[in-house]
Amino acid sequence: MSDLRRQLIAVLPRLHRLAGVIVRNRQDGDDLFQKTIARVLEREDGWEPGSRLDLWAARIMKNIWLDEVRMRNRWARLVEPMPEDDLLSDEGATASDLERSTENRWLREQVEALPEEQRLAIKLVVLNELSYSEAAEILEIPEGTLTSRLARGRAALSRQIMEGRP
Amino acid sequence: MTDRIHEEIVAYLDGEMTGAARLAFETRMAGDPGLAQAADDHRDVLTQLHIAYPVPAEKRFDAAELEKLGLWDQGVVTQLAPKREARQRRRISVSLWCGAIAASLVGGLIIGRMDWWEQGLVIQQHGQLVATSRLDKALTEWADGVGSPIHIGLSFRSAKGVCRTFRIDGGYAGIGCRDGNGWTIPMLANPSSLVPASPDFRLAGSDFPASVMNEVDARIVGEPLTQREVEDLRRQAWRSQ
Repeated sequence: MSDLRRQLIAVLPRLHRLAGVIVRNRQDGDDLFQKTIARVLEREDGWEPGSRLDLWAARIMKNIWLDEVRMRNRWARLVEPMPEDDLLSDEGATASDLERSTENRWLREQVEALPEEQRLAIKLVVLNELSYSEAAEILEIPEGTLTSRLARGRAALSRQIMEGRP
Repeated sequence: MTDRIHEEIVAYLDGEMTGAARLAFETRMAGDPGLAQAADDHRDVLTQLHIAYPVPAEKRFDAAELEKLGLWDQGVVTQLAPKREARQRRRISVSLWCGAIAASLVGGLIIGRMDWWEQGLVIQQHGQLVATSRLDKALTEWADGVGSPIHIGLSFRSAKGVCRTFRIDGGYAGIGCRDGNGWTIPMLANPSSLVPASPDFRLAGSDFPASVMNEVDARIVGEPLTQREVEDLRRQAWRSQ
């Protein structure tokens, strides 16, 4: 077994979590994760031993996802969006649970409606708790650009929370 | 509020602003209610995001999932640090990731995550694990169902010869198979995977983990050896064929 494969096994949980953060729908997240692993193995020779495999694989994941987003945008008028997982079941939910769930869903909709560049920056840093340098490396942008995207996205969310919370 | 101020606020809240810059920013906030309020608003965004996006539990990958991902094969999924003969009696460090993973070790199996030193009970030799000292003695001399701290479980014939299960108090369990004058260890299970087999699946000298018993089930030819057969084999120095 190659060094890459050994290291890849070690970072699988991290990559799986990242896919789940980038994509809300669990099935889509699993698909993104599996495509990423397949692509990493296809491009094994492209990895530079000694560099961080998790960041390299995350860059591949990001590119796969952006391709997917572009494709979905092209077909958006023809396909129904996938429902979020928490829309598929309301078993045992109380009124306050449902209210909270509605608020959470509303906020997620605001996040998903952000420009993709801001949305990805927020998901990597805020939800996946990566450092600015790690997130910038994955997104292949300077840290200053990352900071700018984070700030604009979060400022927009702050305004929306103040103005429009259901 | 300018973009630049929002950038400073998020960097501050994300812990990316350190040292003197952080202190200076806190001083500014103390003297600027508008800035402090903006920071509070951003803090609220963070809180709401963390509530709206609960962190998913970390997934663990078993052998079947690794295989599905193309990451499980007949190669070695281990880090056997000491490769040179001179270092073979030192710590053997075996790391398998992602919880209970079944991975082959040159045709054998290691189950679970392992960072272990079994006090010279096994060594790596020509790409396989071999019993040494006390384990070799126990496998060679002891009857089924006896022993401490090494317990011998049952003995059986496999396609490649006679094998015996063993368990170490508070440690590993596995299978030793006779090979020439010694015992190779084609399968080891670490303590975290030592879930005893179900009561319905207990065999002689049991309390062995299900993973070991499953491996016996996969290798055994015929029935487990009787005590008489084991004794006869022992007298013949385990020359069974």
